[in-house]
Amino acid sequence: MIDARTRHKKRPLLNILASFFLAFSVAMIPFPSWAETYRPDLVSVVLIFWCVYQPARVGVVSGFASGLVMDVMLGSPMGQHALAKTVIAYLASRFHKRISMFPLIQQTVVAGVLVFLDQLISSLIRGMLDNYAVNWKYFLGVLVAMLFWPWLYYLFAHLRRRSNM
Amino acid sequence: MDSFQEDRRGGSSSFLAFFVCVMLSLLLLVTDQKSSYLENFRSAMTYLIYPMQVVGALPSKLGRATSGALIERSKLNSRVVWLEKENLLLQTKAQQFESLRAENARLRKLFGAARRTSNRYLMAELLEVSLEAFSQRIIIDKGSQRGVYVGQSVIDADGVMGQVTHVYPLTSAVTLITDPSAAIPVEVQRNALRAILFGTGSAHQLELRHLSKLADVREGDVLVTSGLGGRYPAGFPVARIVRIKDTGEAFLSILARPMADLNRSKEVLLIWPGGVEKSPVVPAPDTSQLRGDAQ
Repeated sequence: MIDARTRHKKRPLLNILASFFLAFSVAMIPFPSWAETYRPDLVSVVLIFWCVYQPARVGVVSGFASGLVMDVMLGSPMGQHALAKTVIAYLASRFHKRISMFPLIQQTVVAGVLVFLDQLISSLIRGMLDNYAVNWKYFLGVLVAMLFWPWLYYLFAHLRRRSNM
Repeated sequence: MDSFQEDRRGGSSSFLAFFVCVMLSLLLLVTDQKSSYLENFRSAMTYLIYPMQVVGALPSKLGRATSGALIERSKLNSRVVWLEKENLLLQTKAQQFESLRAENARLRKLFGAARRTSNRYLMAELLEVSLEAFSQRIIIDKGSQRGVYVGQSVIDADGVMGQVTHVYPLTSAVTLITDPSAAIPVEVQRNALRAILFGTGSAHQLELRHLSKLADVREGDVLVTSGLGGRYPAGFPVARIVRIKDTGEAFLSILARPMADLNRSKEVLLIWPGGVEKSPVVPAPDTSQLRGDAQ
């Protein structure tokens, strides 16, 4: 992946906002209870994606803000998701150059690890505050979330690169 | 590899921003646990979130609309027949109910007991089910603008669902009785034995704790709200006992299944208990508002 961010400064803001809006909307779709464990955390995926491909615009602060929105949305303790998303946004933007050079499959794995970390931090915080037991079944959603990374990649990074060549 | 010499434009990847955000998160966590200062902030934020909730609710609305339009005529007919039967049955029961209510009022007068006024109900629609599988929460589409308050009971056609834990202007968050942090004072309908029912985090299971081996409970017993604690109005069905096990410890291990259809309900009812009007804001009457009597 050639460093894409230097070339595309005009359009991305709209893309970023639209993708976050959609990701949050997906988080609010009522799922049947059997599917609940597979619900992907698309907000994290989108966040990581933009941290890697638009590091000048999306970073730790965006992670914190999207986590806060999530906390309000879900009625979870304020700061639970904010902390988790701050951490993954920091890691993603800290290593954005390295990650963006990875082949697609490796990128997907990295995204999966970060989404997993997000879930782990947020359920550990919840476990400490409210005595929720951490159930490993809930991490199945991470695998589903990973499936969305290639789509984002082709939709934004790949398309943009081609149109500019 | 130059990953460690990333540019620091915008400061978004700088360690300082990271440190500040982490500290802020921790501060929020502590504040939210210890006080209610953040409730105003939460309500303000919901204006931002409402459009996303509406978009999120679209697929299921669309699904219901199309399934309504595409349903077969014969199916529709048989459904009408079934509903008419059901209606007849309910009307018969309602007649009985009227006479029982009159009798109840007479007896209460005889005893000099306070008469309970009727409850007020407001129908609300489910907007969202919690994303975190370990917390049993739902978001409904009525908020403080319609007079919803924290601690209000939420029921469906079959029983108690939970109580309102956060109120926003347009929506509110309901913690279901199956949430691990939820506890609801109940009594066994058969013999008025009091107990407390706890959520387990599973949508189909509740746990009745601290009942001794000598307690008179049986499988199949219906648990209703006792009204103690002042949160839930008395007399609403909550759960049915499905399994009683003697584990050899001091207390019985009792599992119950919620009566309310926690997974499938799309419409829920908010209750304003009769007698005390908790909220000064009286919602304007509209078609979705029901009036009813509860014992």
